[in-house]
Amino acid sequence: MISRRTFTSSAAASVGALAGAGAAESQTLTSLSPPVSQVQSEFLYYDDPVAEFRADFRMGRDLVEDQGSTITWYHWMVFLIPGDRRPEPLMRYEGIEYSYFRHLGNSNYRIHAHNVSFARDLKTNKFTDTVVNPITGETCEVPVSLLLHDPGTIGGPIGFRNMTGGGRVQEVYRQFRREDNLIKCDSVRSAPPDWPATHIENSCKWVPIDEFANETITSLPVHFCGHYAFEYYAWLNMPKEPGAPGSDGHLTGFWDGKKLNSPQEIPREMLDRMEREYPELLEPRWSEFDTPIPFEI
Amino acid sequence: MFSRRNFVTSTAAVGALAGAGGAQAQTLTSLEPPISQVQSDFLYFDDPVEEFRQHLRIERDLVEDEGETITWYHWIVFMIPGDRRPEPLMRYEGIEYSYFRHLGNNNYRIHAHNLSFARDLKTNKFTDTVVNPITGETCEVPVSLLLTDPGTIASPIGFRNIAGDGSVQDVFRQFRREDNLIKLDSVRSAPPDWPATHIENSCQWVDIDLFANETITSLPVHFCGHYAFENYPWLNMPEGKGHLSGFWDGKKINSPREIPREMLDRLEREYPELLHPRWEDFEKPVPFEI
Repeated sequence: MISRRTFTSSAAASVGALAGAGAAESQTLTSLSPPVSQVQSEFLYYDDPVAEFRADFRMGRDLVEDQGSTITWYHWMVFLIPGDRRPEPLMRYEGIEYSYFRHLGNSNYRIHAHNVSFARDLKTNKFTDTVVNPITGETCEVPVSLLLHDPGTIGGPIGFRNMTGGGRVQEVYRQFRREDNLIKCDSVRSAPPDWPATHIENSCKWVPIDEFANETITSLPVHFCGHYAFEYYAWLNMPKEPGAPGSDGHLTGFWDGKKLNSPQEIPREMLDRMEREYPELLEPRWSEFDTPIPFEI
Repeated sequence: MFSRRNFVTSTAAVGALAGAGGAQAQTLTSLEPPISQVQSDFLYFDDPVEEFRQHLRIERDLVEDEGETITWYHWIVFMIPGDRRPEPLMRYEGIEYSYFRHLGNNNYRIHAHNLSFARDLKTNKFTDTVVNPITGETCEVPVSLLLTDPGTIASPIGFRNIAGDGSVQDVFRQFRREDNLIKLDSVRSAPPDWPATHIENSCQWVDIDLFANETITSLPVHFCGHYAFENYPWLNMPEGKGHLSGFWDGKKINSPREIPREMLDRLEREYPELLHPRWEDFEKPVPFEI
């Protein structure tokens, strides 16, 4: 039934069942229709913005007393939205975000992070260093996506302040919801003031309600999906002249993944490559904190 | 800790949610079980028929004759104006009700309708107006009703729009394993006569043990997805001024009675006919050879 180019057979029972399609034919096929159970869907509200921020921080990072770090791992697909013709899927990335943060007191956290993503071909799923631009037809070289220059933020109950933003507070949209046995949190993040015009990022993350309710857990094991709209990569060589095909367009990315407990949990193939090519990015870059904060907290 | 405008306090977990003070006397800890490397694999099918059938189990129901599937979701709409920062616009809560017949040889004729009620992004209440953040205009928001989808023929070779000439559109699908989940990435392009800016993708997932149980024809998936689409006419945007994007999350449900209370109440009052499959859509002949 399945050929698994990279599928390891450690979960023998499950894998056996996956591969054993023929067996089902002698069984009774059924839709899974347990007794009707109406979905419990509620919006959740906090009286205290500090408690709301802290709950968000438990999900997104780790509600540490002093300092901590969080790694998330994800797949994401990039789409070209040229504006004047049908959008096209472009490529897949597999990546991590490694964030590290210090509590400055009063629920203000200084946060720095770096991201590394390796391109994968959408058809073969193998790591690749070229991609065909579906609008221009050009074969483009794809660099490893390294985000190493995020200036950092101060996250707190009043919003977030970019370290390069003069202390101005940007609001964060967040909405907690309950969906049956899950707590979900929708969030929308806008861009630093000097970023390109087309940039917005939103996500939905979730965790089982019993883990959320256990307040001794400071870092909740969330899963997430998200989306962002952003400017063309320079390496795509998209036409810039007004009126040229695709010149008014942009990219979008859609990701899904989970929070990890350690860099050692990064999947084998990606971890191997990280260890070979970017071992220094498998650790927090605490040196980022040497730069003084240019405004009053 | 919480004020819950409509949070029902029926479970122990809810009690714990509300009891923030208790944690202070306990030892706080990051949840760090023994290191367990994520098992992440791409899955491939030798047989495209088998791959299609697995997709149908996830997205709908691998019925022998005919069946139906309801999904329920929240989705947030964003404006991407192109020349300034994008802005969140509104939330919808909606359903897709699809109904399908097996025409033989793994060709499924699928029809569907969608209905979404607008919610204000700040109050979360149902609303019939929204402020366009680009123009500042307060716009009337109709209930989002998609009732004229012409339907498709889905099969292992791709899908054919019933309003088209029978030409086959490819579907991108990629199965993956992530620890104890089977995930399915898919990308769907638009019917031939739809606007230029339209693409839809999603990620659906289900526990691996349920996926492996092939007696289950309709898998209880959760999903998130995104689509890019043209500005709504009611936004009164200047022509050519950017587009919208929508991001949704939700789950497959077993019956219309599983739609959450507030939405189901409204559906029963205002659109009771949309709580049933519209089998009459199948009366129109398919205009090409299957």
